[in-house]
Amino acid sequence: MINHDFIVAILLGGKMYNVLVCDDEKDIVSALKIYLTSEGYNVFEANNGKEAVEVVESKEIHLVLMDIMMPVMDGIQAMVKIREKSNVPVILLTAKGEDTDKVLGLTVGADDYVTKPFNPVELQARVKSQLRRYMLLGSGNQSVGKSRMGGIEMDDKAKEVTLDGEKVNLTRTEYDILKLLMDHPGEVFSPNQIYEKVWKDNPFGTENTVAVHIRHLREKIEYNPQEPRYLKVVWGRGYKMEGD
Amino acid sequence: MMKKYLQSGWMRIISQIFCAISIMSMVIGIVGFVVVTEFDGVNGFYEEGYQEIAENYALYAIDMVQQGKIEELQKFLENNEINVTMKYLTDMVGENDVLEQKEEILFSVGNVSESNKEEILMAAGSHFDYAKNSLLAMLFGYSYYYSEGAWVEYPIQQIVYDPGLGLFLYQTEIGYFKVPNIMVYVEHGTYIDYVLTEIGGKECYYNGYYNVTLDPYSYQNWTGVVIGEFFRELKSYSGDESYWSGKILVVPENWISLEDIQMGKYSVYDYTVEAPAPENLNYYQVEISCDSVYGLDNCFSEWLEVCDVLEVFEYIAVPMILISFLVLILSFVLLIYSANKETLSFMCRVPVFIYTACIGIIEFMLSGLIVLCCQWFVLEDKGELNSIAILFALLIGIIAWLFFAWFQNIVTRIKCKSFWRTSEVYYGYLLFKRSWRFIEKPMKWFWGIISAPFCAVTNGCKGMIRLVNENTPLFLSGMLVFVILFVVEFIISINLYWGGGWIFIYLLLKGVEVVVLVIALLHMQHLHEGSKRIATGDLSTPVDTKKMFWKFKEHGENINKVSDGIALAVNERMKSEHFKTELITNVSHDIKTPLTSIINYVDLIKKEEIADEKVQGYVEVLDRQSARLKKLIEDLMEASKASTGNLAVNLEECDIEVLLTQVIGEFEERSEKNQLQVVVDKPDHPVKMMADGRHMWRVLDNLLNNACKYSLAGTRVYVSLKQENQEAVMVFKNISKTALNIPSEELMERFVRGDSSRNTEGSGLGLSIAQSLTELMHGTMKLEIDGDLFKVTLRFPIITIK
Repeated sequence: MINHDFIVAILLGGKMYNVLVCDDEKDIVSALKIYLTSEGYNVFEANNGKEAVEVVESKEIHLVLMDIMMPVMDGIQAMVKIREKSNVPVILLTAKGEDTDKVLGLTVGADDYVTKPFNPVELQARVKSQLRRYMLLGSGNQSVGKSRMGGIEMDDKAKEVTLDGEKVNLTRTEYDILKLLMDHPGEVFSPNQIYEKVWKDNPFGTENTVAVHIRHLREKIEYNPQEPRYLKVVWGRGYKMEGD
Repeated sequence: MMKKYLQSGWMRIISQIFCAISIMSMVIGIVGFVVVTEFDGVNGFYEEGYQEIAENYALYAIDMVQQGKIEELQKFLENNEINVTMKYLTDMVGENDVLEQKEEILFSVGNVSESNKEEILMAAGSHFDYAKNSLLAMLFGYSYYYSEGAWVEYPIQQIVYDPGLGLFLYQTEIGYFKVPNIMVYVEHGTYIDYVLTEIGGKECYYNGYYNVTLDPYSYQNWTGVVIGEFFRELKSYSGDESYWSGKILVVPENWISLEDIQMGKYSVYDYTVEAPAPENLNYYQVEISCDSVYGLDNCFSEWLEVCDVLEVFEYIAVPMILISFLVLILSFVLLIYSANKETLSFMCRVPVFIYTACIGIIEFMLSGLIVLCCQWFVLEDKGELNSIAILFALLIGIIAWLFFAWFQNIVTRIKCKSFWRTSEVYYGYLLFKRSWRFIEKPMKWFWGIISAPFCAVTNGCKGMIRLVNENTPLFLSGMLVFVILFVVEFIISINLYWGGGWIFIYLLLKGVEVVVLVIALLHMQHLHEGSKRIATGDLSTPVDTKKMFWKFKEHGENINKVSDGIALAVNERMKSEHFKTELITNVSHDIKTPLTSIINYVDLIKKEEIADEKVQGYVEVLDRQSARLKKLIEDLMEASKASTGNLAVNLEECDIEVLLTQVIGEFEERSEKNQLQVVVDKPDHPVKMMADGRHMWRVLDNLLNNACKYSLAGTRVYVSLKQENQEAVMVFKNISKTALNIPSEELMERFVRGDSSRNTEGSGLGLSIAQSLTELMHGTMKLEIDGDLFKVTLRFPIITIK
C-alpha cells in the first residue's frame, strides 16, 4: 500500500497532499479516509466544524472535505472561519441536496460540493481536480495552442485532450464538437448549429446524431455524466461548455 | 191541547187570512180617511172630481170644434146628456175656472201656441178615455194646467254680430236675442271669455278678471268665437267683405235697430231660443153642464155614485182603521205563534230563495192583473164602479194573504232553526258534497289549468316581494332616495316649464347629485380594486375603509374580513405544506447519512478481492439495493417538492423539437440495449414554449425511462410532437411488457407501478413526478391504457411565433 501511495504522490508532483476530512459520522470519515489514502493523500480527521478550523489553523492542509450539518459548528460557519485565513480548496459534502444549500455553500467560499450519498469515484476525481487547480493554477505553464477549461486541457496541435492530466481518447467528431464548444465558452449551440459546423453539411434529417455524440463525449470527459460539470445540456436549446 | 189546536194547519191558514183581511180593511180605511180629509170632506172631493171631468170634456169639445167635427161632438154630447156652451175669447179672462153650480162648470183653456197644441190635445184625448171613470182617472190619470202662459221655442236661424251695437245676437223668426256670454279667440290660440254687462248705460262684453271690455271693431283679429256650446271658426274672414264665411254673420254697422231685439227672459237650448209666448193669447170659454146628476150615463153621475160611497167613510174610516189594526195585531201574533216548530211541511223545505222568488213573481203578476182588470173594465166599459172596487179589494187581499203565508213560512223555518238548512246554499253544499267524488278529478284538473298562469304570476310576485323583503333596508333607502329626487325634480320641472329662477335650483340639485355619484363611484372603485387584489392573490393590502360610509364601509369591511380569512387559511396551508416538505427533506437527510456509509462500505467490500462467489453475489445484491434505496429517496424528495410546488421554476423559451432530439439522443443507447426502436414524428418548424429546461428534461426522462423499463423487447416506442391550436402535444406510446391490470388514474398515483411487482429498479414515483412537474409548467399530462398499449399525452401552451 505504502509503495503504491508513494508512487501516486510522485506522480502528483512528488509531494504528499494533506486532506482534511470532516464529518460527524465517523463511518463516513473512515470510508473517506480509506478512499483518499488509497489515492495517496495524507488524511486528517475532524468531527465537527470547530475541530476542522483548528486543524486547518495548526496544520498545512491542501484540501478540506467537509459536511454541512454537524454539531458544535456547522460546515458553513467553519467555512467562513477558514476563509478568514486561508484559501485552501473546500469541497462540501451535503445530504440536503437542495439548490439553496449548494448556492449558499458556494457563495460563502466553497470550491465544490458533493451530494450524499456520493459515488466514491466521482469524489476522488473531484478531490484530484480541486487539488490540481489549487496547486498548479497560476503556474503559467499554459502554452500556445492549448486551451483549458477546468480540468480539461486541449492541445490543438497534438489533437490531444486531457482530463486532470489524463489523456482522454476522443474520436475525430467528438474532438471537433469539444473544440467548437471550448472555443466559445458559455455559448449555447443548438444541435443543428453543431451539425452544420462540425459535419459541414445540411442538418436536415440528422435526427439525434448530435445528441448521441454529445452523450458519448460527456461520458468521456465527465466523472458523473448525469450531472455534468463542463459539458452542459441546455434543454430545449442546445449545449455549451462551461468552466467552474 | 190548546197549543195543539192553535198550531194546527187550519189555524195557520186562518191567521194568514185574518191578517190579509185586516190589513186590507185597514188600507181601505186609511185611503178613505185620507181622501175624505184631503179634499176637505166629501164636498171637496165632489168638486175636485167634477172639475177634472169638466176639464176633460171641455178639452174634447175644443178639439172637436177646432177640427170642425161639430156633428160628432153633438152626438157625443147627446149620448152623455151633457150641455156645452162655448165662447171664443180674445182676451185673457183672469181666473181660469169659475164654478157656479155643482153641475155647471165654466172652464177656460188657454189656446196655446202651435208648438204645444198637439201635446195638449193628445193629453186631453187620453184623459178623456179615462174620464169615463173618474175614480180610475184619479188613480191613473194626470191633469194639465197651462195657466201661467206658454213658453215657445223658436229655432235659431243664425248668429249675427253687429259692431255698431257691439252685440252678438241670435236671429229667430220673431226677432233677435242677445248672446249673454261669449269666448273670443285671438291669434296664438289664447282666448278671453266675456259676459254681457251694462257699463255706462251701454251694453258691452266685459271680462271682470282682466277688467277689459271687448272692442267691437277688433273682430278682424278674432280667429274664433265660442257661443253657447259651439266654437265658430272665423279664420277665413277677409277684412274687405261685410260677411264672414264662417257661421257668424257680421252685419253693417247699426243695421239692427234696438227695437228688433227681444227684451226680458229667454233661454237657449241647442239651436232654439225659448221665450215667453206673445201675450195676446186666444181663449175658449167652455161651459159644461148636465141636466140631472143621477141616472145618467155620464162621468158626472158615476162620480156621484163614488162619492156617495165615500160619504160613508166620513163616519166609519177611523173606527175601521182602529178595529182592523187591532185584528191585524192579534192575527199577526197568532200567525207567528201558529208557525209550527216541530214539523217542517213540504212548503217549508222548498229552498228559501226559490220560494221567495216564486212568491214575489206571483205577487207581481197579481198586481199586473189588477192593472189589466182595471183597463179591461175601463176600455170595455163594463161593470159597476162598486163591483170593480170589490174585485180590487179581493185581489189586494190575495196579494196580502200570499205575503203573510210567505212570512209565516219563513218564521217557521227560523223557529225550527232550519232557515240555513233549507236554503239553496245548504242544498247546494249537500249536492256538491255528494257529487264531489265524481267531479273532484276533472275539477282539480280544470282548476290546475285555470290557475296555472295565476300561479306563475303569484309566484313571480312572491319572488319579487321576497327579494324586496330580504333587502328591505337597502331597497327602502334606494326607493326613498328615488322618490325624494323624483318629487324635487318633478316640482322643478313643472316650475321650469313656467320659467323662472328654478334653473339654479335644478343645477344645484344636479351638482349635489354629481358629488354623491362621484363619491359612490370612488368607493365602488376602491372596493373593486380591493376585491380584485384578493382575486389575484394579494392579501396583504386591505381595502381602506376609513373614509367610507354607509353600505360601502360595511362592504369594504366584509371584503377585508374575507381577505383576512383567506390569508389565514393560505398561511396555514403554506405552513403545513412547508412543514411537510421540511419533514421529508429532513427525514431523507437522516436516511441519506447512513445510506452513504452503506454505499461506501459496500463499494469497499467490492474492492476487496473476495474469492468466494457466494459472497460476491451477496455484495452484488447489497450494491443494487442500496443504489435503489438512494434513487428512491431522491425521487421521494423530488416528488414531494414537485407536488407541493416547492420547487423553483424558471420558465424560459424552449424549443420542444430540439428538446426532444436531445432527450431521445440521451436514450438511444439504452433503447438499443432493450431492443426498442424509437420512432419519432415531429414537425419541421420549431415549436416553442415556455418551460424550465431541467424540469422538462425530468419529465421526458421519466417517461422514456418508463418506456425503456417496461416495454416489451423488440417493439417500437412512438414519440410524436404536434401543434394543435395553441398547444404543443407530445404523445409517447409503447407496448407494455406485462399486462397493465390497473386503471390509468391509479398509475399516476405515487408508488404505483404497472406490473404491481416491486422487484425491479425504480421507485414508482416517475409518473407522479412527471405529472407534477408538467402541471408546474402549466401543462397537462394524460395517461391512456388500451390493452397493452401505454399512451401518455402531454399538452403545453405554445408561444406563438411572431
